[in-house]
Amino acid sequence: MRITPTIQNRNFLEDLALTKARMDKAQQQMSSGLRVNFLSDDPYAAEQASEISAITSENEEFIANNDQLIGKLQYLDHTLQGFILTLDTARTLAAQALSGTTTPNSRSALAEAVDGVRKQVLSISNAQYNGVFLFSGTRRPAGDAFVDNAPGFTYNGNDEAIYHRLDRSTTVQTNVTGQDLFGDPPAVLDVLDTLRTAIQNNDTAAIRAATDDLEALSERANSLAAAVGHRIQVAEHIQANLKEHNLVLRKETSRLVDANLVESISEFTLAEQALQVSLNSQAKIQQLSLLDYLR
Amino acid sequence: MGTLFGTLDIGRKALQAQQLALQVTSNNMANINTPGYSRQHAVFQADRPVETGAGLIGTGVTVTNIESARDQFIELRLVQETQIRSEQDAVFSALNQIQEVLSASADGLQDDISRFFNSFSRLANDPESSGLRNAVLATAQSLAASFNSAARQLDEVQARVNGSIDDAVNQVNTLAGNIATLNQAILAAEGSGSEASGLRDQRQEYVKELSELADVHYYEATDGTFYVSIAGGHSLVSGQAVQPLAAVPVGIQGFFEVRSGANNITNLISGGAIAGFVQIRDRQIPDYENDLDTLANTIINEVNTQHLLGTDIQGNAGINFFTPTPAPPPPMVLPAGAARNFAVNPAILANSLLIAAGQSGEVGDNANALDLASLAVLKTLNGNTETYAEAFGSLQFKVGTAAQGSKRALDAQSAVMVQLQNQRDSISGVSLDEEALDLMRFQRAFQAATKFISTIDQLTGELIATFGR
Repeated sequence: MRITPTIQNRNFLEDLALTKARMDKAQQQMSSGLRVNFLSDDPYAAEQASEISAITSENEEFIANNDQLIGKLQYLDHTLQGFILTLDTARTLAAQALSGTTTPNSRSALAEAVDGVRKQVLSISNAQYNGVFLFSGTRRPAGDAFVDNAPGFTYNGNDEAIYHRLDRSTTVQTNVTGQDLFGDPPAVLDVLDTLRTAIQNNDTAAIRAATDDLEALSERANSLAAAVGHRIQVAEHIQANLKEHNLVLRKETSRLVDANLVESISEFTLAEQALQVSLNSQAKIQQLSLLDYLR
Repeated sequence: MGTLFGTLDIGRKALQAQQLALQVTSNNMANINTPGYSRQHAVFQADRPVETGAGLIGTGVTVTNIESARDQFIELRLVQETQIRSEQDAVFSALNQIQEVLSASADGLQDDISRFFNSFSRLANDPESSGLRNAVLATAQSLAASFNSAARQLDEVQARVNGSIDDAVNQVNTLAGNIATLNQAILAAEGSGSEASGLRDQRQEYVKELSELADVHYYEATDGTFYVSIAGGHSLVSGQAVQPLAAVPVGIQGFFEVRSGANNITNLISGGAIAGFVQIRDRQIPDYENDLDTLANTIINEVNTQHLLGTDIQGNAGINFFTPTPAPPPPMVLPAGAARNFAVNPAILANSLLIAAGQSGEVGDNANALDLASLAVLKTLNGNTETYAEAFGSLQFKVGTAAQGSKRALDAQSAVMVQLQNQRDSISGVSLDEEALDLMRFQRAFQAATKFISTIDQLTGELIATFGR
């Protein structure tokens, strides 16, 4: 085959372009830290990384939301525990009233103490988290959720449950309605009203009945608190899983699209050497011509 | 029997022949970098001998022709392969732009889809929060802007490619005119029987340039003129006549239709840049736009359907969250332009309280926000097999695979072209070493002829001196 200067130049330019393309690619990988800079670099990896990015973003949102939800559930749990303790106090007062050693003065003091408990319960029933009533369901009353109409009360909330999704497949109830906790018969404020009157009247039968009601209420509150506690556990477990899942997804994304810097640097160095050799050899070949020997 | 003056004539013809050969050599060296130039050589032929008493004796040398070194088969293959390379080049160039539009960058459409549905998930935590409601609107606007931008950029690529078709058609006509002019010049120049090598080289180069634009078929008539046709047989150049193409804008988009006379040959052009432009404009971009519109339309419909099931913060029934895409005229099924016209309902944009986060009318109800957020994980696209994120990923895969395939094909074709060009140059290219040797050869021959004439002149002088007293 005849080799002309044009062939030599063309081949040289083609080789030069290929070498520079290799250098460019390696340099791009080094500067971006990514193996996949364009969809065409690795379409499958780009597609997978894109879909993983959507899942990661969704998980991050769940994680951020769950942090808030766990906070809310823990506050709810704390409030329920407070309510249970308050009921215990009421039951203790009732037991004292049934002791048989009460005097009119002591009964009056006990009735006053029951009244104090009633005020505590009313305060608990209007507890708020981030400015929202804990026990008003989905309703947002302008005033209090529970309004004292002693005797008795008005409930301005509703009995709607509020749910939140902890991840793609798990939904939990994040509230306890006032109806569940205080409002269903026997309603706690009504029971306390009855107890106070019974103590004042030294009506032991009524005190016993109120004590039974308080026990039932306490059991219900304990049951609700246990359910909330379980939800916190579930949320914390899912939260840990989500964080773990995101870690796995990030590793997978890294495996799919991140550059192996050692490989990139090595490739760049090889291409650079090839470029230097190519330039040197071409410079030498170009100098040689039979025309130089003509005199 | 030869005479001294006859012999002197042999010297004269030798001088002329070597001088001509030197001229050919210098022309070769001058054109070493001329694209499409085929090296030439002088064809020497011994002149007819004359009878002498001792037998036949030659009468010198004449250059009978200046021939070009050319391989028609390789020239033809170059034209064919150039068509393929140019088509692939046009396709890759456009796909490269398209993959930028749909790339997986941090601010891409994929992230906006995630952020939009995540914003409903966050709103569910505190459905009456005006901050979170405004955040939903902000992410919805970003999503709309991303769809609009992707559709607009695809439109821009399509418009650029469309404009390139017009430019290419004009170039085809210019080149066809040049070929016809050269046909005429070659016909005139070769009437005397000698080969018009330079003109032929130039014409071949124009044919090659033409093949970069369209699928070119050509043949050489007996009179040396080229007949060129494109698009599977539509005549472009017939000897000295040209049947120009026309690029006629059609429809509201003004897409150029390529016409040869009254015939629409747009889809008959099977090679060259025009074929690539048509493929991108009429098939690939509409395919990607269709996928993007399907995704946009599904999001619009499903979000609207769910939003209509909810109640706003004042307990009123939900309204469309996004502006619905107008139904297409039959028999079309998919509303075109869903991505281009993707927009948040202006009423909701003006009043975030209209976002229907609940379903019961209560302020604290988050049921609809939860249902809206969960749309992101429902497989409602591509035959209920893909979520929005997966459908967009599939579109990215489709574009990426097309761009990757196109790049690989282009690289392979470029390598074929280099090989073919090298083959052509090994036959037709100018070698400076060869020309240097020829220069020496003809210089020596010229010097010898000069010496020979000088010798004959000396002999003639001696004769005159001896017998001329």
